[in-house]
Amino acid sequence: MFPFAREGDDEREAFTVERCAGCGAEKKRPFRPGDILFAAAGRCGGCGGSSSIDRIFGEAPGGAERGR
Amino acid sequence: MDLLSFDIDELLGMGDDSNPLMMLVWILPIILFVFYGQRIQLMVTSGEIRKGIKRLDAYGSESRDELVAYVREVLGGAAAGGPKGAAGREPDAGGRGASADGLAGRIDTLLDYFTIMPADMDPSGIVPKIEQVVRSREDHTRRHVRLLCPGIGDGELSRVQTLLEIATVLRLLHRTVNHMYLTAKKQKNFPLILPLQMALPFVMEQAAAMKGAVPAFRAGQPVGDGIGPMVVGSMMAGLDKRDAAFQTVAAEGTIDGRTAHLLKARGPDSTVGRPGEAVEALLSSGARIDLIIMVDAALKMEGEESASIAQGFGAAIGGIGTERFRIEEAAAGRGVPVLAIVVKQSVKDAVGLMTREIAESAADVRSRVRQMIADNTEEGQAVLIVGVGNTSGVPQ
Repeated sequence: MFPFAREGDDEREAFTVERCAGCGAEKKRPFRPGDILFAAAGRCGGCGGSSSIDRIFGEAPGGAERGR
Repeated sequence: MDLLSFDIDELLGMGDDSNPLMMLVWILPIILFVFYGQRIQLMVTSGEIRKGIKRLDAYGSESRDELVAYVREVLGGAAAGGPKGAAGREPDAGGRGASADGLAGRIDTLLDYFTIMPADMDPSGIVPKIEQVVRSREDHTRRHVRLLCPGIGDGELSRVQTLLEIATVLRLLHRTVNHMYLTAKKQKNFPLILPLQMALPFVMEQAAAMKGAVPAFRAGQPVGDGIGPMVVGSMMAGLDKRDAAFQTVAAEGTIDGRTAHLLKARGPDSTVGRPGEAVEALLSSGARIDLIIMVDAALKMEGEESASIAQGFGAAIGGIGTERFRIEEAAAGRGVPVLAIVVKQSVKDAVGLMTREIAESAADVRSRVRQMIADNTEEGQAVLIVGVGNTSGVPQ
């Protein structure tokens, strides 16, 4: 009768996207405890510039974006 | 025996109006529904409501258990990190530190605290009273969590407070719905159950969203509501920050020849800060402000796309209303226009881990802020940009 969500419907897997300030290259990886936005994320693999955490978000497990 | 050759009219007595058996077949259900219709409906509806109550109960207990587990984890960490740790310690005379056994009981006591809102028969001057009650509650909770977990850091403290809030609301929802259901059942009062039946899907949506938000807050991840702080936090990069109010930071920079005052809650703690107080303080300080832009998350309507951006007028800030009141008072007193940019999202998206779509809307929101500044101010003027929302996982 009621459109109650099923258990597990709202499970999301967390991802972190690192972005290079120099070349703009992005690297997506699973979220690690301690990750916060704008934090330094080491050197860019492409140009050697400094990367920082640009986005942290959740997606349904096995979503289309996984591993991109 | 020929089973196929029978007359349906004869079998049901339809051709003979005087058949007493058929009269009973028709009249009995009518009598039954006239006198017991409501009770039958009550029984049918009850099953669904009971399922909802059971789920609400489970949400409440699970969120409470997760809170207790998180506090134990924090206590364990504090104990491992230094002499301030309190794991396994008995509470002292001042209530400092809690044993493993006493911890759950202390948390249960905190969960059962209630808040009595001020009387509103004469509403004039009610805002400071509401603010005082709400802040007393927050200060009390903060103090007691500190007593429970000596040595706890500000970030962990804010997370414990948020988890406490979630568990308290879920517990309250369960108690309220259960009370309404049991009262209707006890009095066999079907009309009493109708509002419950209508409201339950909304209550369940809210409850499921809050329950789903627990892991994100525990892990210190950004939530959908954090889009405002995320946008303003990225604009603060490289600028000097100062405290503007309790758990609220400000910075000053330049955007396209305009002075930009930036304001957000202090991240990455799980807090919304006190933007109302900070805006009021900034305007009272005599700083020139020609425009206020507020960036916030807003609940989307059914049919609207999540992460869609909308612009409008007025103070975009939710909550109990006291912060909005302060901003409106301060802006109206000085004739400063207030514009808003909101990112629309569902309840689940707003309180849960930020979705990819919302995170990716931040760049678009930033460009809209710039466009809004260019359209509404001249070079040399000053603008105040406020990022409203929970800043969990979003520093500055």
